[in-house]
Amino acid sequence: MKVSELDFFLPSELLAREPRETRGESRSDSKLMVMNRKTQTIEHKKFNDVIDYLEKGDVLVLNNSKVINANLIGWLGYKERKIKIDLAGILDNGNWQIYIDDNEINPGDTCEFGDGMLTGTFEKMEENHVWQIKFNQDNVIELANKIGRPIMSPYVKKQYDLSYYQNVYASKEGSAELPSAGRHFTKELLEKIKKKGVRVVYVTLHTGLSSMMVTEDTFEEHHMHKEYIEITSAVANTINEARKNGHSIVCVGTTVVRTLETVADEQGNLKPFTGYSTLYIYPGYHFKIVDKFITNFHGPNTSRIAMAAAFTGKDLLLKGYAEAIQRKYLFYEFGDTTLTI
Amino acid sequence: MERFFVQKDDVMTFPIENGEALHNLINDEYFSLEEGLSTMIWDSLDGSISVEGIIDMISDQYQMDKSIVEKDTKDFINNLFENGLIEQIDK
Repeated sequence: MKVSELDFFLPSELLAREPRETRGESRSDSKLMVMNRKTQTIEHKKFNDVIDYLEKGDVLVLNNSKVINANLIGWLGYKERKIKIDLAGILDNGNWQIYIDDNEINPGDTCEFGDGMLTGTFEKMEENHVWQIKFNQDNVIELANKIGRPIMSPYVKKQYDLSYYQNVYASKEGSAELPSAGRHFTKELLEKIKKKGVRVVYVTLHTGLSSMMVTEDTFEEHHMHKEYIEITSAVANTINEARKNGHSIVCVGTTVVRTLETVADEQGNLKPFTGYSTLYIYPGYHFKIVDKFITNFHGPNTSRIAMAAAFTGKDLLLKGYAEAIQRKYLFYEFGDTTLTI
Repeated sequence: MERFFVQKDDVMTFPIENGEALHNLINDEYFSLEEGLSTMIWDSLDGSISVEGIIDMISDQYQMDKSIVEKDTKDFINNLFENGLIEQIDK
């Protein structure tokens, strides 16, 4: 599918520039656009209304990965020149995969961050701007959280504290960027959902470089980086049981979809799993396990909009986005969200 | 004495059509730089090359009169400094 088929004009005033809490709102005060695949209709709601689309016995699946201060500023060599890197994730060989907007790095170049608290060597270039660094310290996440800052988008107003980039239920450190569909859930809303009899469970996907822009002409040509995922046996059993009894599996975010669809067999059954996902979902993909999908509004030329179009259907998605733009929904991590049923 | 400057940590750079945009996260001000001399100078402000080195680089690359390049480059760098986008470092 051509990337241009999911292209649209996104007015700059619809980029959410600040967390809504800074305006005195609650995280769950966001708008919710509901797209119904069966009736091909669109409804405009508030996020707290999401509970109306969940039935007793359904399973709400969230990603409990916690964001780290993945953006580090430091020096190449012995203060040769300043560099900025984004940590993407730790690899099997113990190296860290990183993103750097610098074309003049060579294997063997050393680097230091936080006045020498974190030091390492550029070992191997995986592709343009993506390198492996071998750090000299083992506690990279701990040090990054001390000396780094959250990865920021270019449209945010200012540097926001890491707490704004955490979901209220996040518990396992490792994500470079916020699994932002979960941001709308407050503890109070989750309690109401549980009281309704919906099972709330957690999987883990540590976000890395999957948000890199699609620069190719077709979605199929794009290379998706792998990300670490985890499903426990308890969660797998809960989801399998719910499906057997005819209940819906409601996925919060592209990261949960990627996790479940990676692990599910052809019949949609899950087993416990720890490893990596290389799954890339774009239109044409046959979903095995996801019944309902909550995801934020994504920009054109992204793998996330490709996943959204794969689930919702290109025509309904684009119709929804056109209405959203007309009604001034906000896009991206601090913005509003969609539910496709 | 040679002077070295670096982009401030609170300034984000991102590509835009025909150039680069700078966003000062302290005061939420945006600046745009046109592709060419401006972006070349901005991208060089990483502490690796002195102001004089930048002037030489531009003069050589564009085959321009060094005295003109010197004035324009220093004016541009001073403007970046006054707008809080860069800081001088000791080397």
